Amino acid sequence: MTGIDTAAHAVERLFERHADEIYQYVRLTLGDAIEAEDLVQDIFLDALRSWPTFQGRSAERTWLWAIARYKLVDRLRQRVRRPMQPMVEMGGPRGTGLEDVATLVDLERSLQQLPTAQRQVFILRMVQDRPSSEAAELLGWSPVKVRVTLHRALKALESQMNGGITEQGSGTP
Amino acid sequence: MNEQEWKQRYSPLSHIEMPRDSKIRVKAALAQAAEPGAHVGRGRVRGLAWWGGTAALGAGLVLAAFLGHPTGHPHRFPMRSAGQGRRSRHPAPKGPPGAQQAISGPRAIAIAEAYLRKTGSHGIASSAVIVTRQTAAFDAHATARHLPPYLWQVTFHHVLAPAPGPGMVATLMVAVGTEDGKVYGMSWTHAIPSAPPAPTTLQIPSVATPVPHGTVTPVGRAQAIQDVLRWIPTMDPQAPTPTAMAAVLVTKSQAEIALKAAARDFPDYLWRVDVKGAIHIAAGTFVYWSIFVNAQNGHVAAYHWGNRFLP
Repeated sequence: MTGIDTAAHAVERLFERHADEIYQYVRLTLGDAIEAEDLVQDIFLDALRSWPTFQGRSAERTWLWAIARYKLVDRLRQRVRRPMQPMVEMGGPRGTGLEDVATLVDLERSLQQLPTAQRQVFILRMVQDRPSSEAAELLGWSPVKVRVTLHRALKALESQMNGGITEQGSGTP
Repeated sequence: MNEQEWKQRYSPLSHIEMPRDSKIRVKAALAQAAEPGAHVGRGRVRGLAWWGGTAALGAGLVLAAFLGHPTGHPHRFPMRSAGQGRRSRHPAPKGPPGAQQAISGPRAIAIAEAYLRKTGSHGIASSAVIVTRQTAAFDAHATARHLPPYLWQVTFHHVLAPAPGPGMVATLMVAVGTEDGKVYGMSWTHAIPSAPPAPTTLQIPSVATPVPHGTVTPVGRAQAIQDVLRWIPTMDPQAPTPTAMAAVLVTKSQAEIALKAAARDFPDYLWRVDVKGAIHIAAGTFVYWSIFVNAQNGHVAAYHWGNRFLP
């Protein structure tokens, strides 16, 4: 096997293994299914292009997640702010009923209220159920930062559940 | 709430997976990017000839198997370049389309298909072409004011939708912004195609004949509107009461151009009745119908409907 097909097969293998988790992370962070699909394609195309420069100093998965993270940050900077419309019905789990879809939409919407960093750490820790150390590795943060940010995210969600967070733009006269 | 309870509460989100068709599309894009001389983003993939050849073929076959495409071509649909083969009287965008598009053609198709799925229908796109907003508005019988400068116009010819009527065929066009990937509208055309076998000389006229001044038809304007408002509930009994916006007498050629269909059975004159639905689709957007009524007997000859911004 030559280096050429190694590169291509490696990216294909990474895609098979990590496409779903990266898609989930990107989609819940962006709050948009279509944009997430687009970004996942960009991430793997970038991985294919960058493969020759990958020197194996980190695990392949960590390297791929670093690409995903940077591409996501880029996308968040570029995107024009517009109302979030979670599109659970398009990429949601198969066989979900209407009530389940409503629940998913509510959950996604509640995540969109969080700041991006809190959202990211919440997705990795609470949705994808990763330990703090792994979340820290994938986000390129210190474990302490992960714990603190998660704590803030949970507080914010709790406050949101108790009606402590108001919609942006609303307020008392 | 402790961490376990939070995990439990948000566990439904952990089941979200990347859609299968999207995965196939990404694989095809990777295969295409790995082809010799292919560009990946702003860079160039070098030295991936072997994989490019085999993987592109492999992905193409996988895609073909999934879609049931007979040729096994890795591209899902034939793509036309801007303006090619169009009969629109509006010019195609000047300059390279790539200069204005952030959304690729296959991406626009995917967006249009996803949008179509959301409406409960299903179809396979037959083409995607970049058009100016004037062209998109012209084709969708809408105003261009709220559209971006360029849009992908994705056309579906095999749409699984409620039967439009005996002998009628449906064509659907979805307009997707080339910059933001947003769906700006969709328009259906339901028309009776020419009686088979259609002679090859039967063509949609390129120039419309105007209605001569003072033309009087057996069915008047009020009668045509009444016929249309009676006809809509027979098509969709659940539809809330629509409002007739306008009724204009048109010639056969004007109707054919508007419907993008050559119809040999059309009478010389038809009433085009524009109807606004009561359903509010989105901010300021309503369902509208353009219904063509035979001015001789008051029967509906063809119709076209879509979503239109109606301030």
